[in-house]
Amino acid sequence: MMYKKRISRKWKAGFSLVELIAAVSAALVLILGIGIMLAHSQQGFNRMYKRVHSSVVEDAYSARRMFDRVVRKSTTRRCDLAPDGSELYVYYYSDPTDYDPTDPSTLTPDSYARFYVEAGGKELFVDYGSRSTGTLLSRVRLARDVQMSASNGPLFSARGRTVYMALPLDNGKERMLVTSSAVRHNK
Amino acid sequence: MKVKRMLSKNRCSGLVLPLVATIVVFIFLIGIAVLKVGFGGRYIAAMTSTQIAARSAADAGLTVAMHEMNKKLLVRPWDNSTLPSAADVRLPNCRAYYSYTVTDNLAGGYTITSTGKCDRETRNVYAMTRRTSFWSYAIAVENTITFGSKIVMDVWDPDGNYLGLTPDIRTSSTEPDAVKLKPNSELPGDVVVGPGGDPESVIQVKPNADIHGETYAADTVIDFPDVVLPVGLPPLAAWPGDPCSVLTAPYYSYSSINLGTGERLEIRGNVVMYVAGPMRLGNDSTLYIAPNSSLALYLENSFTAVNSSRIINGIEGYEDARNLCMYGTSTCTNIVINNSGKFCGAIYAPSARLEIKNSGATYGAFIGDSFEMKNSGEFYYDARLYDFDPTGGLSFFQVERWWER
Repeated sequence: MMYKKRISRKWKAGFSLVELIAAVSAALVLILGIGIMLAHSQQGFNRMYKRVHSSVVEDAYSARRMFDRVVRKSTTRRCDLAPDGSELYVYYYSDPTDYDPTDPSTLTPDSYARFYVEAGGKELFVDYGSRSTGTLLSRVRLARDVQMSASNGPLFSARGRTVYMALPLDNGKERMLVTSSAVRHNK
Repeated sequence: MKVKRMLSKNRCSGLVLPLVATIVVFIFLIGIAVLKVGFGGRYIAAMTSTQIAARSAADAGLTVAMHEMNKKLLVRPWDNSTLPSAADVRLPNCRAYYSYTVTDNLAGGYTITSTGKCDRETRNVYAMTRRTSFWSYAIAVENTITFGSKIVMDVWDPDGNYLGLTPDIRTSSTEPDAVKLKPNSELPGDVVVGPGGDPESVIQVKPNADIHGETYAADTVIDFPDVVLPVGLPPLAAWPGDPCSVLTAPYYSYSSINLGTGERLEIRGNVVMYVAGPMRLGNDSTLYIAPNSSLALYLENSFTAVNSSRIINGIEGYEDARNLCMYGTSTCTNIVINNSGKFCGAIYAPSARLEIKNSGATYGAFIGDSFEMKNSGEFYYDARLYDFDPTGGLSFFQVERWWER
């Protein structure tokens, strides 16, 4: 009698095979769910991190900013584009406050900015120089992974006072078409 | 008893709680990182859009300031003591505000400072403006400009006050070949076509003709105001038809004028004359403006100076286009100058077809519906017309310099 009671107590405290399989299955489902969720989170994080910090995005931001700043201060009187739109010249006053209607040297822009993609290369540059002497004063790289193709249309175009830029960037992982427009303001 | 203790020990040393805690911490860290990156992107986007809004507000402030300055020009006389200003004007449907001030820069112009604000971003744009006459263009028309062959343009600046000026010409048209330069003509200034026009198609340059300046499309349509007749004109009178008429009073009004062969009209003093009908200078007739005198001629119909007529404006070599100003109202549709010798004068007739075919050089500036210069020779833009606005309604402010900080 005593032995029977002990055995029955022991059986009550343990797991049956069915219970074990059910528990393991439930745990597996839970772990799988959490795993998938974590994997998705990680993917989302990686994607978002790339979008915010990838070289393409940084280049897009700086190229747009510089294009905007230079074109806005340039003269409305002249803007030169390469026939295929791959190159842009704009002209500006290095010191716009230096204006004297009786001094001819202050009446025309004395500086130029040339936006271009280096021949055969994938880098967008802007050259700053003196318009009168043609001297190159500085060169700045605006973007590294420019992917020129006919389907993207011209890199630069202009209509009236507005100049447009459509810059295709592709570093193999991220692809982006950076579009920007700026209005020329100076006489 | 022993079994019970073992079972309870097994439960306490289970891995479930640490496992759950680890997962929670891990998820928490990922969540924090995702939020940080997400907020970073959002922050950059928000900052960029705020900067754009602030800059747009500053641009809008500058545009409004220019508009107010041009509106103020209509109130005569010009009062320099109260210049336009505005503070914290909100852009419609936007969080951005603009403020602007206009200050006299003591160099004959005004400096506009416009500040745009949106949230914590602030942008400042500046413009140096100057009052210029519609005659700041050597030629400005609504439609076509045609230059005959061998016309050479330059600037006539006897006082040397406008050294940097170029004789610019402008049309509001965007039609093909609206500006024609026949062979061997030279334009040292800019050629401006209508907004949106393609200079390549609007300007037709024949062989050996040349434009030394820039060619570009204007940003806005030029709106020539109608001519307003001066106050104080006497009732219309018939032209007396004397062989030599000398006008010395300040105001005259005639129903029409026809100077017959050999007749002479002399202007002595500063004269304003209104002609309701056609005005015609016949063969060998002369319109003479004496030295230190001026004629402001208001035309309601037409003006024709036929071959071998003469228009003499002061002393030879000291002509001043400001002394002969011809204003055509909206009903004046034709001004033809075929005189013999020089022509020196300024014409403002926005509805008129202007035709110049004098035998000598042409001095001055011309505003009309269309312009055609048939003769060959020199065309000198009189630089003194650049900011000349005797009636007070023919000038406007334009931006000479622009910068931002």
